[in-house]
Amino acid sequence: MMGDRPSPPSRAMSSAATTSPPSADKVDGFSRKSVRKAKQKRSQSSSQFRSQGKPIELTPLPLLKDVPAPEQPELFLKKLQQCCTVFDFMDTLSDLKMKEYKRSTLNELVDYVTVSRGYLTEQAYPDVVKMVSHNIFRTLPPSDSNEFDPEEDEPTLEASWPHLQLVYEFFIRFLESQEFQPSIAKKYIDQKFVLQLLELFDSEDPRERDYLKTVLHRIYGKFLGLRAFIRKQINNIFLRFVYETEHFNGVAELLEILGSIINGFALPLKAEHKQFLVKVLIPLHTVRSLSLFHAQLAYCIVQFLEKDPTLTEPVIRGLLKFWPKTCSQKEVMFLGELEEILDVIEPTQFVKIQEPLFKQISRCVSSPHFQVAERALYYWNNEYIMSLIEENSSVILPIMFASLYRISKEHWNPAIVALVYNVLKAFMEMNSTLFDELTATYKSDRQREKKKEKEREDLWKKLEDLELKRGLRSDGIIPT
Amino acid sequence: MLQVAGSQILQVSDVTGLRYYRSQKLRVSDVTGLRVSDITGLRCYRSQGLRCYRSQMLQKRVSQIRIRRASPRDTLLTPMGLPRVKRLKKKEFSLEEIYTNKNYKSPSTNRSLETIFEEPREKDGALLLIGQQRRRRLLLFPDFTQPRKRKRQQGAGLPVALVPRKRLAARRHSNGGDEEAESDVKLVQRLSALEDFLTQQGLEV
Repeated sequence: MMGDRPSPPSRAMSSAATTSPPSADKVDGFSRKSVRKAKQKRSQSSSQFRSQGKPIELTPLPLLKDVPAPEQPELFLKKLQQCCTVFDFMDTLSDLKMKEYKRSTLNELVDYVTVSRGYLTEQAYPDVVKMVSHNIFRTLPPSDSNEFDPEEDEPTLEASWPHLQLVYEFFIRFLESQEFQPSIAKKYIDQKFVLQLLELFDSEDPRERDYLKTVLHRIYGKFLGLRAFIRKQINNIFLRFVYETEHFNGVAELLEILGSIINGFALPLKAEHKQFLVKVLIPLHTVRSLSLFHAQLAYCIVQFLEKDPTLTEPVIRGLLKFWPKTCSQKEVMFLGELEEILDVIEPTQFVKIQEPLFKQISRCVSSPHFQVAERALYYWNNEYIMSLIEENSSVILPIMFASLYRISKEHWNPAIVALVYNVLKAFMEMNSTLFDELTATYKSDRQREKKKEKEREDLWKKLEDLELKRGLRSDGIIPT
Repeated sequence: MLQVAGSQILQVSDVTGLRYYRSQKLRVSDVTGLRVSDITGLRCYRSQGLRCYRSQMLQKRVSQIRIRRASPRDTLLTPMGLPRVKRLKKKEFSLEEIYTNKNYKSPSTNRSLETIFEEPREKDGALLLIGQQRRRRLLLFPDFTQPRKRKRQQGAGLPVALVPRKRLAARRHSNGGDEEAESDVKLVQRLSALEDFLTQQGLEV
């Protein structure tokens, strides 16, 4: 029975914690432990402290609406105190009556905070924060698999959610209450609190992350003194995510909050924010799980560019530097994001990056992966991009011509070939003189290549003949 | 051999993908109580002169039958062998369902956040830290196959950019379709000329 175990759950799996010599663990490259893990039943996990087996007894208190108004604040504090008791959700049926009592009390507190006036005494602040902390701050349960894919796998849902949800709901309404005073609250909602809050974003339960997003958004908004600290900690989380672990479940939610922050940046942009863009947001594009938060990330990028268009060059150079080389799905995402950026680009900025940009587009267009080629070719469907290309066709066409022609002859996919023909046609109409020049250059380039190839072959042949002659002259043995 | 038990509507409750049969009120007049548990083996037995209307239906619809070895609802496992989780669609949940997270509902995707001002703005004498308007902080990528409307008019950019485009558009549409066809011909001419040259010279593409 689970209640016999003395120690609280930590990140280790319960029965897999038994040791076996590491050498015996490897079977054909797969460790026995991981095979064992896969076969283990997924336990419903609650990361809250398991009770020692003693049933919890809470003395039922009267309802808030049933006591006269002057007594309510004190009763409110008593109920808060009661809700600090944490229950064991590993065993669903244990203490069910008391769990229900706590649940109804929490419901009551939510309503009370929403409608009441004059309930928020100074004493309430530390008690509220204490109750919330007791309930939400905990070690998160270990992930059942290393390769948890939110799109495929069921998330590990938080077992204590019936209580947790109400605690979050309560906290949000508390923060949003008209009577809420940050000047008092800041004594209790401090850096330590925020740090623990941020760690919870790694929860696998999407509902929890959604609440956390709202909570952090409110805290960032109201506590000016905590803003720099929050930004710094988010930086740390992202950098650790990108460069060390590539694991964190709350990236999308944090990026959404950042989106609302970036949208509110004052101009001129501070250096710290530009650093963040280049050192954190751009490298975020490199992780394998980009698809989980690409929409939020792209929003942040475009917001930055709308605030300060001169950032376009470093952003595009950054994307080109991190251009996916082995993941076609990501390449298609990059092309999508790039088109959104080009959609708002200023012509002066465009001119600065057009060469490296179209060199990459030229490579994409030639990609054997038809989705990549198609996505790149559809840039020519975008009126604004077309107008920019036309303005600068003398630079862009020479970059694109060779691969376009080659693809029109060699690509396996007929739809791609058709799109390429349209692009070639557009180029020809834009600048037919240049088109013909490039055709001529193409011819002479191929001729030159062939000549070089021939010269090289002749040289080898001469060397072979020389060796043969020498060999025959000296000892009659033909060297191999 | 069919077991003929009486005159009834064909029972197809065991078979998935054949619900449309039920909706067609298929009547197999003399064939009753037919259990079709294996639809890949849908067979229509003809015996004793029984007319099986089903065979006619089959001929029309066999390509529409989704072949499944077993009804997907029956299996407790996903194709990967993991236990299948069921999402209940209910408004009211029992206590047990609440405490075992059977009432899971994905968080609403409409959740949007207000802008947070870096520098508090003054409005009517009060300091505003957070904006009023809520917005979704996501970039929804539109369908790239559809031509798009330019969202914002950039003051400095527009005249420069639009003029050459108009030229191209004007050239293209001035003569209607003829212009287009002419372009096609010109392009093909040039490309064929290039190809011929390369072939003649024995050059690779």
